[in-house]
Amino acid sequence: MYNLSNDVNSINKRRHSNRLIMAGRTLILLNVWVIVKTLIMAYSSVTSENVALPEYGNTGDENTDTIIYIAYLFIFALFLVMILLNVYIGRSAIKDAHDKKKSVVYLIWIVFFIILTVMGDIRTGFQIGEEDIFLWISSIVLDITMLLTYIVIMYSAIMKRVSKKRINNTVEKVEA
Amino acid sequence: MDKTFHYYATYAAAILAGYPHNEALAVAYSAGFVDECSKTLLGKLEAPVIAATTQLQMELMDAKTDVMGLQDITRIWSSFHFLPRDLYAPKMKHCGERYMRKYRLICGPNGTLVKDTIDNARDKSLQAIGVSMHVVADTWAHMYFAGTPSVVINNTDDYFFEIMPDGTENQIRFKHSLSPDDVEKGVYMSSIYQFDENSIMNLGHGRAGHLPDYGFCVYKYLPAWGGYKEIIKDNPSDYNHAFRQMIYALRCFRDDVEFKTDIYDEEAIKGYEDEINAIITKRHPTCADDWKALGEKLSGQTVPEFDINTHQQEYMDASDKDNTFLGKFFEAAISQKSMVTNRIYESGSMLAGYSVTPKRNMVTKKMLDEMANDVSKGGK
Repeated sequence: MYNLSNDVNSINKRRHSNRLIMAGRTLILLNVWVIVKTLIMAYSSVTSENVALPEYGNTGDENTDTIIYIAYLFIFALFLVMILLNVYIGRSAIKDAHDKKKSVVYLIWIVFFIILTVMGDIRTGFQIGEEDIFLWISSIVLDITMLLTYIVIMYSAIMKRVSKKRINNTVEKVEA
Repeated sequence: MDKTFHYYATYAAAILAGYPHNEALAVAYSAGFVDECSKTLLGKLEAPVIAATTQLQMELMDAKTDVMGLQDITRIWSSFHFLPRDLYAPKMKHCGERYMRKYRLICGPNGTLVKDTIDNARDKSLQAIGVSMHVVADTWAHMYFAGTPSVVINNTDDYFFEIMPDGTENQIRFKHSLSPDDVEKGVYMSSIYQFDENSIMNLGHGRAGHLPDYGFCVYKYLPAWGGYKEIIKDNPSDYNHAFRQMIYALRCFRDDVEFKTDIYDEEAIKGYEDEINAIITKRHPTCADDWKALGEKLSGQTVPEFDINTHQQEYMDASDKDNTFLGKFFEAAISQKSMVTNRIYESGSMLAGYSVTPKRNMVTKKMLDEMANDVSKGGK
């Protein structure tokens, strides 16, 4: 009497859609944490001795100070862009789960971020000093979580499309 | 089921089953009173709080969700509103024992506990019959939900669609305000999502709001326990089955016939099917007037409005409280709760707490009364 979509492909599509929503929200929340963490670090002035951050206004040379000021602005802008891109990926994943997004551009950004995160952690790992090892480990934990979230989004988005295609093929076969 | 069904529809069912007006009223009142008998009311009446058959919203807000608190909640809701269908459901793959204990509390009709409920009320008061009718009716309405707080069993998400009579599907939206449900726009109230497994918000069908209590509603959704499988809840069909099964059960009581599950009385309802179906499928949150009119038409008598205060003064003034209307109701409620708690405990679950299995040669109050009668008549 009532039509239920309980075939394997429909169930899988729903499962992967749900995972996309959860992973998308997780990504957005993780980026909120990144913002909070950065603010905490900035206010507590936690810096590594291996990475010298010249203080603005203390070099004595106006040109150098201006360059430093621009550099700070550039870093801040880059940070903001990264956060916004992650939020865009998270929201795109949620929209994709509800079949409201057809473009897969956000998946390309995911690949970019996966490469960036892995390379950044490896590079930092080589440069970090013994006294900052715990800081690096705690940062790695967050990065691994982000990586897993990216992978889950990518996997779920692809599998959702595969399931949807199989459903459409089944419908076409039935109609034929 | 909503309160009006429990009172007025039970009255109509009792009349159709051949009960006289006064007895039908007693049965119907008891069925409706199950939704009113809270610890607050029992405290006011100085009645045993163990007889509680429901919990008010304020009581739930204050309810503790530690082990003892959860057991208390489960005892009440599983015994009267979410009777478990299969306490021995087979273990599923990749599911732990803790999950399975909650899974086995999922409510559904025609389980062994339904028969136990009817048998438990046999040869007892009209109030006991009324309590059993409430329980039976709720097994149909509250299908697929469990009477214990559990997000992994009772949670739902926004994948909720009402299936209209013409076959179209309208997405149902849930809100968390106290404003009335908007049936036409498909906006219904539900409890807030809480990821805490034992949150009160995850008790029963709170996450689906009052939808299970609306007879007109056919909807599909994804229950948390369903593994992403769609479930269709056909309330018109379920309510019709509930009504017919209630008539059958009431006849079994009256005729002293063994009750069997999955049997529905079609004889008594002849000539009234369309009328009953029209009431059930009426798109309105409550159909009190329609059920009342049907009951009065069947019996030719006036059915009074349900009043929670009707029998309270009698109970408070009586010296022999056990023989008052409410006294008999409390006894029936305690009996039902004990039976269900015992069954849950015997199945290996501690979710409803400990229960002592009565021994065969145990002396009961009835036996003591009979012995006292014999002695007073000069017997040994």
